[in-house]
Amino acid sequence: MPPMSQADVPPGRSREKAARMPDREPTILFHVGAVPTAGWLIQRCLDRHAEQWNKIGVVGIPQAGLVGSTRSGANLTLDDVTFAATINELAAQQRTDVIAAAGNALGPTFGGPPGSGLHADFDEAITLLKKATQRYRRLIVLSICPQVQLLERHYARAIKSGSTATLDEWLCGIDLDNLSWLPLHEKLVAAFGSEVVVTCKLGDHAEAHTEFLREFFAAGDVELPEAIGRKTPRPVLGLSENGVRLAIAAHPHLTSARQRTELHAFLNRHFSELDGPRGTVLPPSVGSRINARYHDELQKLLAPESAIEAAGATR
Amino acid sequence: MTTQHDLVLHVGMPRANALIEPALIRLRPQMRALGVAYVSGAQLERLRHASGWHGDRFVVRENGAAFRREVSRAVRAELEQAGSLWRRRPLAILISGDQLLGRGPIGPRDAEGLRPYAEAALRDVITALPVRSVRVILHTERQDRLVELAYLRQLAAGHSGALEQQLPYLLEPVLDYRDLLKRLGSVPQVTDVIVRPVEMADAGVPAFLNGVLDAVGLRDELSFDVLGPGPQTHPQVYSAQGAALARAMYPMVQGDEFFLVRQYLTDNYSAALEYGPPELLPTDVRARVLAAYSESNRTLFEQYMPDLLSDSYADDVTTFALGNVLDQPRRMERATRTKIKLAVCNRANRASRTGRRILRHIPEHSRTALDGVRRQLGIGALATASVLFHRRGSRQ
Repeated sequence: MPPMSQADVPPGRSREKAARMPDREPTILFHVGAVPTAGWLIQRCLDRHAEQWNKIGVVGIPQAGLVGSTRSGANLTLDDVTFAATINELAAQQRTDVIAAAGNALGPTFGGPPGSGLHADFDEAITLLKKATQRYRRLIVLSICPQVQLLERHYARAIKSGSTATLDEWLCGIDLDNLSWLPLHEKLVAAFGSEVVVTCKLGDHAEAHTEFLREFFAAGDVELPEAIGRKTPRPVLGLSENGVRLAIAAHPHLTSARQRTELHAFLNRHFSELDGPRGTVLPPSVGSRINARYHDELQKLLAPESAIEAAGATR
Repeated sequence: MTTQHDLVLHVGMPRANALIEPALIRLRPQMRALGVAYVSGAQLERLRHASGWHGDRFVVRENGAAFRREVSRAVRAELEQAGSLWRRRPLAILISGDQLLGRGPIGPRDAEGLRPYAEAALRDVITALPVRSVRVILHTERQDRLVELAYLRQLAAGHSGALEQQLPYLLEPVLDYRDLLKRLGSVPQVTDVIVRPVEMADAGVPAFLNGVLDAVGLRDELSFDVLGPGPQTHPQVYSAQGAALARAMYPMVQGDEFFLVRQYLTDNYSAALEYGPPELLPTDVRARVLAAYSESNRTLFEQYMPDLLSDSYADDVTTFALGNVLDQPRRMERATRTKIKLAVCNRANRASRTGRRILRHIPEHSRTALDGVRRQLGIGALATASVLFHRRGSRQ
């Protein structure tokens, strides 16, 4: 094969990776993780710059092509039929990497039977994911976050969707001693192999988001174009303490999702964490207890041998 | 000697003022042209020494004299605009505002009698003005609706208590109009008290306004086109959902945050203007309120509004029927005449003011001579000269 000239190298690909492209089979980069991790960030990054990604042979699957309603209709989980059909169609295109990101593909983070931990229903989703992607080269990225951050973001999410519970009341429904990421990670490793599963952690500031995206795409041999990196969506602001109190007070009197959305747009504008201390922060005593409980496992999961950098280096 | 004028005071209740005030402000140029000076209650409330007005128990008595001087000045300024050409002729002064019955919305203080400071507040304004006769117009509102509107206004002002807390006398017949009317009638110089039910406004704001304007001799004289298409017959208040949200959210905000939340609720949770305030009282409570006032309301209608059914406040059906009583104003017939009057009179008024300003700069002896000329030629000629002068001045 003749050497590639600089003009032949598509932007976003390194010369040596571009050189490998014709022989390379498409990679399916699948991101899983609890809802407030990085699913939305990757999705938005793919959606907003779809044309640019297409030019460098990357296609993102929109959320609608990944998840469907569960039998109860209350939560979303992997829709294997649509997903498999989309994957097959996209993978049939030469030199196309497929990137899928859906935070809720593994089902609800909390709310399983007592003692079931995070993502109680992930077994079924993992089986479906394995079946749908078995014909292709794949990489499963599990993005995790410290449990304190997970709880705070989930509470903020609950408030946004109309909860009237205070943080203390909301925490009562959660088993704080059963928030480990390890069972999920082990299950993924058992299903796909340790060389295919990598973990990553999303920070909560803008620079950390860009850095996360760069590393995430690098794991799939894709270089994040500078123009896209510069336009990384900013982290969503949380509500201030007063904003949360106002939301809790108002929710029982709202009758539709539209009213809730309008209220939260108003609260985000005038009662965000920029206007006062964040309202979804765990009490320090609870926070430090949880941090101490899960510190070691987080270190282990994010250790170089399982973290995303290592995955990028070995591939 | 100061010319004495006819004073008409439109004193409320709140719903009537919410409809009338904005409309009268728009109609002010027409009223000026036709020799009626209109001053709103809000204008008086904004005067520098308004704290001297006996509107509530927080009156600053030392400011009383200054307040009356300011009232006099404000009305005189409006009189000049309204008819300086005929300044030696008595003009009509119309003052409208529920502030004339005392400051603040209907609330706990009314437990001792509907609008307990009405007499003092009215007297303050009347004594400040050179008047030869005073007529008072009061628009009553059925007490259950009055209480609901008062409560919704309290909510909008930032209160968050339940209706029963804010208005604890709900089931006692303390909001008795007859007592209020008796007190208003006893104010010196008040020669006439006109009482109409505000529910008549359901016929439309122009028809309702026409009744008020009748007191200053302007029935069917004004063009209501300036009011725009279908001015609403109800004041803007929260819907039932808005009221519930206000009660839930207001205790958590203060200062600027309160104004933000209030604006948000006003924008998103106001009651539909065509249907009016929501029904906050449960059906049984409403029935008990109406029963408590039934006797006094019947006497009120018999005594002050004999042309209307004495049971007009007995239930929703009879009250609703009040909306069919008023005739619509004959605007089409009068429109052209009003336009001509507006064009001529406003110009003449302005010209006369210019003439008077010039006169002030002329030495005393020449002024006396001019006065003689004016007497000889008559006021019409001077007016013509002033018009021409003003026209030439404006061209330059």
